[in-house]
Amino acid sequence: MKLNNKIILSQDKIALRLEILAKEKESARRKLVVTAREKESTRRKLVVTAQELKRLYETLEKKVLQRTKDLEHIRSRYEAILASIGNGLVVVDKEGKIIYINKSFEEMLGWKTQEIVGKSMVEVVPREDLNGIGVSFEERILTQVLAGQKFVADLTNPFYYIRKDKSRFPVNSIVSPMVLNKKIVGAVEVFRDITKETEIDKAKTEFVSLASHQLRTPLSTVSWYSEMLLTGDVGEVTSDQKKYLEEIYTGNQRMVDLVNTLLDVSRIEMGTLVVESKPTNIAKLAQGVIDEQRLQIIEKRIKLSTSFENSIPSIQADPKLLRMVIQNLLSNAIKYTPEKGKVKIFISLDKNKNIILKMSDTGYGIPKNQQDKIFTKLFRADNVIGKDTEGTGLGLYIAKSIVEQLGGSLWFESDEKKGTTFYAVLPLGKKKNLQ
Amino acid sequence: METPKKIIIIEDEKTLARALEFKLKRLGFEVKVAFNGADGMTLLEKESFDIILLDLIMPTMDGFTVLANLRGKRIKTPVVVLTNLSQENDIERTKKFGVREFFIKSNTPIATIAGRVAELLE
Repeated sequence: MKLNNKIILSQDKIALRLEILAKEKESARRKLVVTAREKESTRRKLVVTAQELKRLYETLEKKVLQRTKDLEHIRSRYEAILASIGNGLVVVDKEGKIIYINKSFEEMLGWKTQEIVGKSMVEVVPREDLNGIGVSFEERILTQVLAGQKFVADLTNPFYYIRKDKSRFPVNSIVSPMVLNKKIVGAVEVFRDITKETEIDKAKTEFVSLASHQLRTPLSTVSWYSEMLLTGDVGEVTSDQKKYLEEIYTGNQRMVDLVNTLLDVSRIEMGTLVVESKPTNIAKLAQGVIDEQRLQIIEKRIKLSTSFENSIPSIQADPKLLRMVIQNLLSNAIKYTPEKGKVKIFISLDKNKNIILKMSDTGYGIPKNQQDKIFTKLFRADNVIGKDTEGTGLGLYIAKSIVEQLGGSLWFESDEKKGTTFYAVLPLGKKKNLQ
Repeated sequence: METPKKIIIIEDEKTLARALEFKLKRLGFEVKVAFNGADGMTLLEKESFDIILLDLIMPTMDGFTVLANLRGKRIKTPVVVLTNLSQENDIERTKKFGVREFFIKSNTPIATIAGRVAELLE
């Protein structure tokens, strides 16, 4: 029985064991199923990620292509703009070597891009002043701009550019520096062919000259006949008649002066001013001008003082022209200073041996917003137009032209209602050739 | 009585020529007027004068041509140029012909011109 019992027991155990095993197997199988599922899920996820990556890649590719296309479009648009600028354009690096020229440059100067890029602009395209004298490397505005000058334009001072075939044409140019990270990395020059303007200007000047000469004949008639009446050549005139005749004579004289001024201007512009330079004592010249204008000084009760340094050497200049400069400055000082005002004239020598002529007044001054126009032909400041009817707006233009032709410079400082000081700096020996 | 000095005025502007004629006659000179260079030359070849007052811009024959003709014909009468040209090269050109004085009419009182002519004739 015992044995049977034992067998029964062991059978039970086996059955139990089998059952456990079956359960474990089932559990393992289930686990496997889960793992497979997980694996499948991961695989699916990976597939999705790969697809996403592909899509992203394709989008990026498309974007890059579009961007490149856009940039290309912008670039060609800028290139077209540069190429179509009617003015000549040249870009140089900091050594002054040409990086870029536009189509107008090619057309105006006869050089092709491939011939000229990499070469020095100053050397390849020589520049001449109005007298045909070559402008030196140092004096070229391009050189000055590359050396740190902010912006240089020579609109009032035309010059010539020499083409590849050695012919020349008048130009105006503006040069500005190209700045990157606060450093000058090159310069851009834009220039314009002003042949047409020059011709028109010349014709206009010639017309003024011709008209002025023609005007002189009737002016002479009025002048001579009123003079003869005034001096009693054809019998005595009454005191009233004399007064009226004097008005005619004075009015006519003003017209004569205006015509003479116009002729001076046209001579300066046509370059027909003949300069006869000789050693000239500027202090003596100034004294002569003061004596000449003494009457006006007395009439307006102006206090005039002079301070002429003793050791002023003679300057090599045309006394007639230098006289015109002093005449214009002094007559302006008197004209634009109210009664009892002060005018001071200083002549001295600076450390560079330049003669400095300084003329200051306590007059109406030049309005700040009009100071840059004061040397412009025919310009008259607003604050004096009502006060004086005699000004022509030509005096300072003439004075500046002459001083510059003598190789000097003329400028001023002015405060409205306080007064103006003009400075003329004249180099002792150096003199620019006239046009 | 001393014979008056003879002056020829060659000037195409009649009013100016008449004014000068009047002024100089008042000073006691004998004055003849020609209204262009060609007429002036004809007169100068016929008669002798003590001084010539010469305009530069004139029809038929201008003053520069008159000066050249005077030189060609060896007429050495002193010349005073009266003009309204004032370019330095015009002045230079006349100086080369030995012109004694150069006046710009509009800038010079008639009394000054007459006075200078009288001085030259003294």
